[in-house]
Amino acid sequence: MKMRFTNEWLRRRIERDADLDSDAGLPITKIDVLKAFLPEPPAVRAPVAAVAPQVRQSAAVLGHLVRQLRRRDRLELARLSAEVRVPEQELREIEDGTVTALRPRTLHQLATFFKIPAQALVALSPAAVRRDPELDRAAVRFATDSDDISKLSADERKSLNDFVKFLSDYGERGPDGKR
Amino acid sequence: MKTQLGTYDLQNRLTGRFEPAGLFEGIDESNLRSYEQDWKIAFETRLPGDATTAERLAANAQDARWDWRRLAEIRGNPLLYQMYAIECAARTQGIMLVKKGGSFSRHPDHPKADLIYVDRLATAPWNRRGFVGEPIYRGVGQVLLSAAVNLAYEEDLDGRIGLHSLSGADAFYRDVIGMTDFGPDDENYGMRYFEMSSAQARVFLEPKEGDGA
Repeated sequence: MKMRFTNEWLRRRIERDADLDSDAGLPITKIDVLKAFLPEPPAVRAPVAAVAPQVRQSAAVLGHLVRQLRRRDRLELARLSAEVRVPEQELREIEDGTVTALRPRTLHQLATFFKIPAQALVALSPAAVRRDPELDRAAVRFATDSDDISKLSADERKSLNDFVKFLSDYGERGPDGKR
Repeated sequence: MKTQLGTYDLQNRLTGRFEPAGLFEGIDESNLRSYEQDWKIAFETRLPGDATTAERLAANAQDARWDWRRLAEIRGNPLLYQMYAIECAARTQGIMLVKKGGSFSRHPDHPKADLIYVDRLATAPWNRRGFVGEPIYRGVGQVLLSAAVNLAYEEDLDGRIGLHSLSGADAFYRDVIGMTDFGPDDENYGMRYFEMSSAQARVFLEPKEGDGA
């Protein structure tokens, strides 16, 4: 991350600013809130070498999903860009499956706009820490079920609807994988 | 994952000297331990004399519903929230929890524009008046808030941030930082809502004469 302020600038600010309390927001009382940000234990992480092809596959499936949803809703890329307030170039890269790291805000905006649980989209995205074999199988089935033509065929529409329903159900699951 | 963003100095009020502090994106077990062993105990055993309604409520709450909401959102979308920590003298001196989506501007310059919402900015009890007679480190709020503005630029949000201030900190956000005061928010325990517009963010990060930024 590029930092837009220097230590010198900050020191001057601290010296110049009135010495006042700065706490904001409701206190964190549940330690689980902090624990949610701790890194996963190394044992449950997949080896990097095993993840790499999955990351490429995830990027491709996610791109395919976004493109099919956009086609379903008959949206030009520029229109989707305006609706979700994400640069057109970024959306194009997502659709092309060339992104390896998605910005959280972009995922959030797409999930909200297409009414797909963000949790499911995160699990599907290249950024997912752990791969879920069931989700990956459903994703591959979806990705191989359709051709990229201008209008969705009945089969493509059914495949897309089935996959969106799967993602919606997936998003309602708890951390243990159960509903 | 915990990543160091840089080293920024905090001023030790007792000595008047600046001491190096690490600013981190993400937290680890050491921050958790510090929070559990130092912060939480201090907070539960002694509320500051000027404690706000929200703080008194939190101190007595077994099941703070806002924390359940946070947890549900964090688990629902692990990328929506980000935690920051500042460490100095081997202790966590401040933490900040920010929300990167789903919050929108109330500022007339850019109504409904996306912004970074500072869900929680907290300084360690030993740096706060009311908890201790002589608070130690000064500058925790400036470092963490600068990190929030920086993130708002990184996320293409043109520096826009919003937050609800605890009552003892209203003057900090209004007079020191220069954010717009939107007044008490009944939906957030009467805490005042403050926002930094894109124009204010530019002014905030603008170096003054001799700042060297």
